[in-house]
Amino acid sequence: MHRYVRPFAAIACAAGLMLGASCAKPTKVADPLSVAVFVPGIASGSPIYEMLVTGATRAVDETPGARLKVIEAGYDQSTWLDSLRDAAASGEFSVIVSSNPSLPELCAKLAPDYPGLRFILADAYLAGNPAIHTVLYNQKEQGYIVGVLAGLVSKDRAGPGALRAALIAAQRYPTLDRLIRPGFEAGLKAVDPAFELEFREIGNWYDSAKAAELAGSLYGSGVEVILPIAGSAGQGVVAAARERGKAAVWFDGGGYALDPVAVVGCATIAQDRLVYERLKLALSGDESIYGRADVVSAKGGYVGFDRDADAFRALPEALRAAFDEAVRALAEGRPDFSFDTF
Amino acid sequence: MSIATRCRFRFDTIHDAGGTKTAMKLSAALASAAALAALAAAFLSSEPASALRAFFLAPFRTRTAFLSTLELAAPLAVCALGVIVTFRAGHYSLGGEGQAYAGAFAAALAAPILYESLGPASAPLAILVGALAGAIVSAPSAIGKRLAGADVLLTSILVSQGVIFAVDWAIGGPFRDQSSNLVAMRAIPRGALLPRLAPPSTLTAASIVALAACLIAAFYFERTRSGTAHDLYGRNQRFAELQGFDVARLSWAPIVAAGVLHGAAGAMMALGARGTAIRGMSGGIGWSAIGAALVAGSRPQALPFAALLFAWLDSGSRQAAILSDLPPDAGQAIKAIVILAVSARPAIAALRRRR
Repeated sequence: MHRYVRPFAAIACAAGLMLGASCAKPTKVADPLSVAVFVPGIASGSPIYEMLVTGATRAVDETPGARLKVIEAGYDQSTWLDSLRDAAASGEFSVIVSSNPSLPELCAKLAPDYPGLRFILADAYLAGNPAIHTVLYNQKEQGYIVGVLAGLVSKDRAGPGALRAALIAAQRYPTLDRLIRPGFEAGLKAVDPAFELEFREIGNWYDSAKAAELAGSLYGSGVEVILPIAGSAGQGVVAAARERGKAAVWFDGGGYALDPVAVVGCATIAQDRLVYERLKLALSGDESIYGRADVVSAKGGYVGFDRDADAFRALPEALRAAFDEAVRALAEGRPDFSFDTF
Repeated sequence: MSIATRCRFRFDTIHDAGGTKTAMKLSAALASAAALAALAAAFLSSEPASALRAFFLAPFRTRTAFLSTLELAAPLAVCALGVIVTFRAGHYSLGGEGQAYAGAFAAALAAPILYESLGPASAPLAILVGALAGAIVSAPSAIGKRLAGADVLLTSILVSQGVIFAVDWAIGGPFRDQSSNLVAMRAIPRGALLPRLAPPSTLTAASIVALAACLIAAFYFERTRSGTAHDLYGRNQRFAELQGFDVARLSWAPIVAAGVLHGAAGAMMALGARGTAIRGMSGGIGWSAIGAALVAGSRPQALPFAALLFAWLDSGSRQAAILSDLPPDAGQAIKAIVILAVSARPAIAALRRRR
């Protein structure tokens, strides 16, 4: 045998032996009460993912025999499918719980390969896949809430003149284009139809320096309030607001902790409650949720606003009263942003 | 350091290290990887036993996991083959990352179009398109070297970095699938992807192609006159010229050949389990390929082992992060230290000789 062929023969033998050994093991059947929480990022410091873990932990703690594993996959989208596949292939889990609009298409790729596995995905939408249950927050309402506040604060601070507010996004994606941005704009125009919305894109979810640069330029041009939808890059917007004495409104909770003065308002979602409720159903053996794509809204208390902050309390009383009225009306369906499919 | 010592150090590092030395390098890499994984499990995990079990056994525990690890090794082996082709010709091309990324992008762009007219036969052609894209990215370095004697190390990394930015922009901008929440191109039709050989594992024919490519490269370097010329050119260009070899061709062809291999590897990634090009999907494969080539002692025969070792580190660290609490980046750190450990051996030997 030629010397350059020997290593290949060795590889073939080794691979054959390993394959034989691995095939000899019986296929593992996952414990039906074994849950993985797949965090497409890092849970610590991200309110939405912290709530995901909190909700799932509570549901598992209340279910005798259930166990939970938190898998943090980091922020690189290109690796999420591999991590999900490894979690599925481990055979350790029967339910994977996660939260991100990108997850349904990745889980739909895996579902046919692992027919026993079920997925519960919050902040996402995919109907009709029998292995996947998704729940989408009505983010048009969420955008509307911070839009009204941004409009009121801008009008109060800027006085007469051009009425402009801004949205700085990490990147464009369907939920942003079809729900958040139109909702935010509707909120601004509910305050004054003359409002104009400026839109800027960072290009990624982590570049806070670029976000600060974009925000600085917008604030310099007369914008009073900016809504960042940019993950950790949003901190750059808050830093620019603090530096220039301007304001930012925040999405998905946790914004006040970034700056107690510059962040004047924070829309919230009841992610912990939602994940708890849906996972409880799944662990109780309710298979009817799979294949369903629900939309939850302010009416059910899943979308709201965090009033518990000094920056919000420091706003003029008349402004807060007008804002509270708008939020109350929204919970009663005025304006009606309800939808069943996305 | 004497000239002879300097030359020996250079050859040990980048040229065919010889069978015994290669086996030693592979053993050293495996041993250091195992030791580092054990240390990482002991110090970074609160469940060292389950971290160790997951790291060492999970990638081989089931048929699915093992075959998926093989698939993970395939594009890495093809990229590393590209590294060997350039390094053995004395060209230090560091542009593999951009070439692979361009290959993935081009294949994801071409596959749906080719599929409409050719059906399932489109996959090999999409790989060729990816290979062509890799070749185009490598062309400026090859032309610079051939016509102006430009430093391949510098030109290749500059071009590669520019291409990475351009492909990032293209995937996130004009070619992005607007209906997707991922920053990715349109999904390649299922029929246009590389057929999966053993679902639910991700194994495709890519691993067979990679093995065949290593075999062909081993034959080329060991048994052909062209391979001898290639090696000789890498060791001493003047001497190769005096021997009557076509040094003009060798000044550019290996660079383009490496571009072809990297581009094809990128195409395999896009046409595999991911089923499209996602922003950032090359994920450092260019650098890992240099590491795998060094661990393999620049011998194509040893490359499948080195690629498998690196795939095991990736897969094992992910499994350890899933099944225990080992940080997911531990595998990357271990890989970096293994590369350092293996590539430092000639330097340590040279230092000993000086004493």
